[in-house]
Amino acid sequence: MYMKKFQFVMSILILALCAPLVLFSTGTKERSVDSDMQGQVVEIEFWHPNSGLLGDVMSDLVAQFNATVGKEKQIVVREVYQGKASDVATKLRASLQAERAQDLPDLAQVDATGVMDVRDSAFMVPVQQLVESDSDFSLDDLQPGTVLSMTYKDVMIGMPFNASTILLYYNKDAFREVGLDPERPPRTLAELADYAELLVKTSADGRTITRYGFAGVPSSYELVSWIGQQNGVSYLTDKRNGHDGNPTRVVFDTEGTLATFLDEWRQVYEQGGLGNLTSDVRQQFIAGRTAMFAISTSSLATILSSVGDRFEVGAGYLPMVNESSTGGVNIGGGAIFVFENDNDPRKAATWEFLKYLVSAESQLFWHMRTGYFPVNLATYEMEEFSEHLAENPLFKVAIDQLNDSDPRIQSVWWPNSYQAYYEIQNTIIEMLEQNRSTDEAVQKISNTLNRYMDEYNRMNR
Amino acid sequence: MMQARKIGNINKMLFATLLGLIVVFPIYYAFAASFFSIGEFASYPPKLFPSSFSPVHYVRAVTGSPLVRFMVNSLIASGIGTIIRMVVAVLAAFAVAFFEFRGRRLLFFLVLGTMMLPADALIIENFLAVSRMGLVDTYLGIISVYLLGPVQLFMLRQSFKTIPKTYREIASMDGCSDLNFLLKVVLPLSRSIVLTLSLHSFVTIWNTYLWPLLVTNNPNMRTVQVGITMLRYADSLDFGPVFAAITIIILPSVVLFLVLRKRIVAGITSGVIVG
Repeated sequence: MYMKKFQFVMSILILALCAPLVLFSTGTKERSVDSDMQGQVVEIEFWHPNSGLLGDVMSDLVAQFNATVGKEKQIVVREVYQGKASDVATKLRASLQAERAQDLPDLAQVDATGVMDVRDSAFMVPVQQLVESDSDFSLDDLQPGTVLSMTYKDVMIGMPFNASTILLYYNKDAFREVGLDPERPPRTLAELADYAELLVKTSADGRTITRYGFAGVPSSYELVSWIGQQNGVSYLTDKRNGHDGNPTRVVFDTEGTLATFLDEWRQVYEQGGLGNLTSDVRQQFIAGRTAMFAISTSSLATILSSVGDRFEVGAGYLPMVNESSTGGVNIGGGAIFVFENDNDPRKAATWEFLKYLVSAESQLFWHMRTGYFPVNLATYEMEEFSEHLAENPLFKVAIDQLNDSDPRIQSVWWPNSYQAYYEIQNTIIEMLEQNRSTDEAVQKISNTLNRYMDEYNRMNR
Repeated sequence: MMQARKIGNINKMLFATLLGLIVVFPIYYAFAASFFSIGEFASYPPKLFPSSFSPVHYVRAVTGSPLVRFMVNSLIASGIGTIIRMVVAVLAAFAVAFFEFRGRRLLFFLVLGTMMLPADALIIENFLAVSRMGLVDTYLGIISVYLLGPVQLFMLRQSFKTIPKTYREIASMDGCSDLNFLLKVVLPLSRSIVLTLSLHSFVTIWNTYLWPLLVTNNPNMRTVQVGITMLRYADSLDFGPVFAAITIIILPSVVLFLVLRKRIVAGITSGVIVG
């Protein structure tokens, strides 16, 4: 009996000691290259955060490239899904901080919050350099707002790829129910307040709200547009929202833009139609629990398919802060960055792939399947594109809003972007629900964000 | 008197049932939700029972990502990781609990000290170390940070300390070596704690997300938790395949628990030292 047990434990011990040997051998990288092509084929690695539907579309694009241009020019792209956008940034940061070029991919898709991690790195190859080395391609081929959205110190550092803007979504059936014109969404925040007041619905006993007029709490994402559109063009921070260098302080306090917005927003709340929901707002809209909300244009396709025929969805421009705020909305989303990793000399193969991703045809494919708008101007001239817009009028609203916006309104690149996002939301909720003064809220947000920037600049001098 | 006790018992049972329901509910919901259609996810009030039991999401979960391969990877990482970790912890705890040697306390507290540092603060440093050793994309790279388990070491030491030292003296008088004493006396007496810690360790490694994601690039080396996020689409209500995959990957932990449960309970009673 004891002997048996002893043997069992010993065999586990031996297994444990031998295990590392086995482990080492299993993890070799698989390079799937045809043997007769070896030596000439360049394999490049591409990290991205696209899962689900987006992941399928990305895989299709990569497969198409490998089967066409890649085959012809001896390039194989290996796509690697690296988790959420923030996980991609974490992973890049680890390799960049370690200065280990061999761990870096040739390209990586990064969102606005990850730009801070890569933009000052010596390993990043500004995409503009690659553009300029190719006489067949020019920055003028790209949608100007998307180029500016990725411009840092006058150089386009990343290739805009998954570009989107914020859009107002509304429930046309709810509009009809309360006697509003379903083809005329609110144009200003004052109108939004009136609309929301009409649309809000309470239960029979009057105690719970069964449908909000508008739901959501503004964060840095909404403020970039709602502050950006004031006085022609405005910014949240100095250095043009961090596009001319590391921002050092906010400017929306001294310029009064935040106070202007908050006063209008308070009005929306006080008229009773606003729900301060911070999560699952899209689900609430799909379930008919809020009549309006604002979110990225990239959600359009899924919202339409999730709502189905339960009610009619409408889309409109993001309401202006007031009649004089005519700047429009900013371009958000992500871009693809290129890294020097001693793999592909001069990044020639990497550039071929990048060029393929933003070609008119690829961008049409990407737009139709996902709802991100095309970054290549040639796509807008294509017949299939016009047909697509004619069949999907809501997509047209998104594109029109983009074209009516000032391209200089830009997303903000600042440190602690996640904390900043929640700081703004929390302070606005506090201001509305505990009836604090606008000045107090402006002060609190400014102090916190200024401190983040001070700390970051001190550490990265 | 009897009546009062009976009521007390009923109250206890009700309370235990309530606790049990709270614990089981998320698992039940994941199972039920794996059969929901998109419309059912969006419905309000939220649904608790699926309207049909079509396996379509399971098919999509298995075909939409290399889930089977991920399960194998996770099994290897969690299984071998747990075994090595427990072997190291048992031997170390045995030494700290029964032997007198210089620096014993210092060593013990040094290991415990690693518990005070949050894993998130170390993740980049750990990644750098592992990548410099060339262990990216290997099972050993995934397992490496779990090999030393200070929690396991501490719990085992506490448990071993309840075994009187005189046992060891008696055993050695009968000619029993230290290793034999560990295997024949200490381990049988501590069976329940060893099994419980092993189970806990297995589930913890099975459930980690960020670390395996960081140290692997090759899709074939990814683990189940990373695999689940591949099925997720941020802009969609299409959670069905995600819940189906969750249901599938909970299974090994549940099976392991069911297998070990009797032994753990048996260990609790057999480990009682009389006198």
